[in-house]
Amino acid sequence: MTELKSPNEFDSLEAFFNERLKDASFASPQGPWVQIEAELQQMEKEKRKRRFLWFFASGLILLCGLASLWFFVLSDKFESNTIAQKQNTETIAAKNNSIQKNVTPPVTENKTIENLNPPIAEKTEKVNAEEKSTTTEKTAVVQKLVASLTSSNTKIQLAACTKKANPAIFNKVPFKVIEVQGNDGYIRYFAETSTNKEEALKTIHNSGFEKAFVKKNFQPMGESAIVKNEGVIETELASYVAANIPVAKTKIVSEPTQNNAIAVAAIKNTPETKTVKIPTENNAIKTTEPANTNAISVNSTPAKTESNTTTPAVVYTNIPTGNNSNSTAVIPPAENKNTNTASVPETKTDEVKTSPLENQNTNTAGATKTDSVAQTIVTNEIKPDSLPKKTEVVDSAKTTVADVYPASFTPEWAILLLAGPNIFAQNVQSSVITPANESQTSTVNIEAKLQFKPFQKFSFSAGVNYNQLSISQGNPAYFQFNKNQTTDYIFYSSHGAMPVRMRTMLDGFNVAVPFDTFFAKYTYTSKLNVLSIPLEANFHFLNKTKFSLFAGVGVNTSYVISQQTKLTIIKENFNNDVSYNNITVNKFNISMLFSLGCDIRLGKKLYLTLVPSYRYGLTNMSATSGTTFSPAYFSGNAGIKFKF
Amino acid sequence: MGTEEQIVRGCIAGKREFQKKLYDTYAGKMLFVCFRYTKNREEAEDVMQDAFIKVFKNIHTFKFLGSFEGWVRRIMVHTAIEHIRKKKQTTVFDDIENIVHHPESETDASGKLSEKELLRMLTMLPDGYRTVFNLYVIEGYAHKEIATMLDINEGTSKSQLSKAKDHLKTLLHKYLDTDIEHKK
Repeated sequence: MTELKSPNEFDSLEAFFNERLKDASFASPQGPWVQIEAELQQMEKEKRKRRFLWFFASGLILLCGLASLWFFVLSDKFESNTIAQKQNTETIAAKNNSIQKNVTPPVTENKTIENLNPPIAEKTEKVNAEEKSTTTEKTAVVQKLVASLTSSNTKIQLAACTKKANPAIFNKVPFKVIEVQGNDGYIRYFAETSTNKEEALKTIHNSGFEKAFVKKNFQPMGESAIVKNEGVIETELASYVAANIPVAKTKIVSEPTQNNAIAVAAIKNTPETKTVKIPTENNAIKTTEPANTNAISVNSTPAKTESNTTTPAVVYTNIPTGNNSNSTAVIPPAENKNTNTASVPETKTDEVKTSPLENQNTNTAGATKTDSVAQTIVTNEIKPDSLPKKTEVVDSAKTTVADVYPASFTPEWAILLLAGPNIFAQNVQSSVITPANESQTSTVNIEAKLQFKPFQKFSFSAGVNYNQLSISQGNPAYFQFNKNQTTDYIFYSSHGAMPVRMRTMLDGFNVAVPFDTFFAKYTYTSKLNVLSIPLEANFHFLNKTKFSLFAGVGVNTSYVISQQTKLTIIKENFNNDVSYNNITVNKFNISMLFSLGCDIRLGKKLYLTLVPSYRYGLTNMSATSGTTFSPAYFSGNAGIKFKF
Repeated sequence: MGTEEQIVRGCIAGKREFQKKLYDTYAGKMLFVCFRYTKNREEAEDVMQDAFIKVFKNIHTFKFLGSFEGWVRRIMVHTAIEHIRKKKQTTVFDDIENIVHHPESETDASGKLSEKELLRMLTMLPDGYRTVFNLYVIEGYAHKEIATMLDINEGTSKSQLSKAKDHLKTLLHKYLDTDIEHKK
């Protein structure tokens, strides 16, 4: 061992110190271990907390992802449904026109109303009994349409119109006619033939369509329908969006849409009558027509007569309203007070109503009814204004079903990303601090919410909000302490207690002075980082196209995830800074949430959202006895809302 | 709970008993290391506490390639340097003339200077001198490394070391003079 026995040996000073001190050791102190253990426990807690937050965030993201996925699947359905509705509406008008013009009015006079019109209840039963088969029939029609559009048969373009053409103009075309509503706004009509295309073209030219031409590379994009099929108008509605979309996805057949039912009657000059069901699921459309006719004839004589022709037909309609429950009669009540057999009794099963229309020449029940129905058709054509609005939709190709029978509200999902300042209201009562000395400084919060709007007027939202609660004592306050105190000196804030070791307290003071009390000043700032889950119900009291206003009420559950507190003890010559990361507060808290906001439309799915809100604490955040601190603050949040 | 590796692996797994064992093994030695950089025991304990937290927090990064004790010691030294940097209050040093020497208690039986006496002498040095002396003489860092660690010039490091040695020589002279007089 290097020894240093005299100052002459100072040359070896470095080696001496190195050798003597390098591996020197004290006895292992146990005091710091207690602190280290506490710190490690705190770290583990925070780690668990972080893990929980990660799980929570992951779960939320997963939930959003699933909701988005679900929405997009649903939106496909919705889109198909909308297309189907539009298609149906427009085709209804065309069909109505064509049918009215091709109805054959005369009928033998020996028909009674009973013969022509079996009891409605019976008809209803028949309809119900045949619902299953109609679905199959409709599927077949759509399949036929798709097959037609995708077939390699020659397609000859007959016409291109901006509005739907009357199918009757194609009567002379001896081929199947397909209507394709293109995305360019034009509705094109094609004749389809598998025969020699030159001959077919010639035939078509001769039938009046001199500018018809063979369409090469036929690509039926858009909505389509068969207008005329081998001389017969298809009474079924069909849609075809694109050649690569399977029929099953068109939803035309199986989707219970809110289609208007159309009353049709087609009569031929035959004494026997037969009831033909036009297959729809919800709409009871019935036609009384001759037994030897399976479909409404295109070639029939147009029913343009304005005379009081007796026409044995029954018209009754079941139009589902928005909730698909109640039905509405298309045909208005009798305007003729002179008739003695005006109406057919209602049935409660589907609330079918039939009423005769104006008829001045009725004598018998059967005749009256027969006449009245015929009159309905004529009246519809000549004086559409005489009918109520709901009937007018049938005549108007421009009016959609949705306009007359608004669709029920489609639930909406939206994501909101908001941020804004917090302005705190003083809400501290304490016997250990002077609340007036303490100020709650403005902070900022950020929020991500998922909003579900199941109804037009109501929505619910839940999300995550990150917020800071900050207090400070800006002006240093004097205090005194006894130098002989053995326990920690404790400072208080509304967030909690801040203990300081006496060693630190005495630091800078001369303890040898003959008095016991020392004076100093102190200030502090304390921040709590809070994660909240706001759950809110909103009432949308004003819904305009460009903006909407809403008011909300909810509950805000918050959790203090971390905190930073800095205490400064101001002494004569220097300051002591003491930092805390774990002053005692109640970490879980609940507050009420009130908001008033508006959405301003920026784009199709994008909105600017302004949501001023007020949170009022229901629980005491301070864990210090004698202090009650329930944070209450306004947040002026603004952000974007993305509907999906 | 036997070998050092087992203890370290236990600490990596977050097991409290292994953490305690590691603490017990190194706390005494590391407290002495911290004491060399600070001015009193409480401060040294604070530094050691912070350093041990760092050790437990970062122990998973230890690759078992070098000495674990050396790794812990480096953390202690760096934490002590950080602590010195953070200290705001100006340290008031006792005048060397006022040093009170207690040869009975501080000198061992053979008359050699004890570690505690040497430590006391070190604490008499200003922070800068003491830190450079510790890093160069005891930890074995080069002036270049010390300059980087303390964010000073290499020349400053050398001059600080020189001044530290001068201070210590004076202290030792005083100590030996007092000791000789005391023996007489």
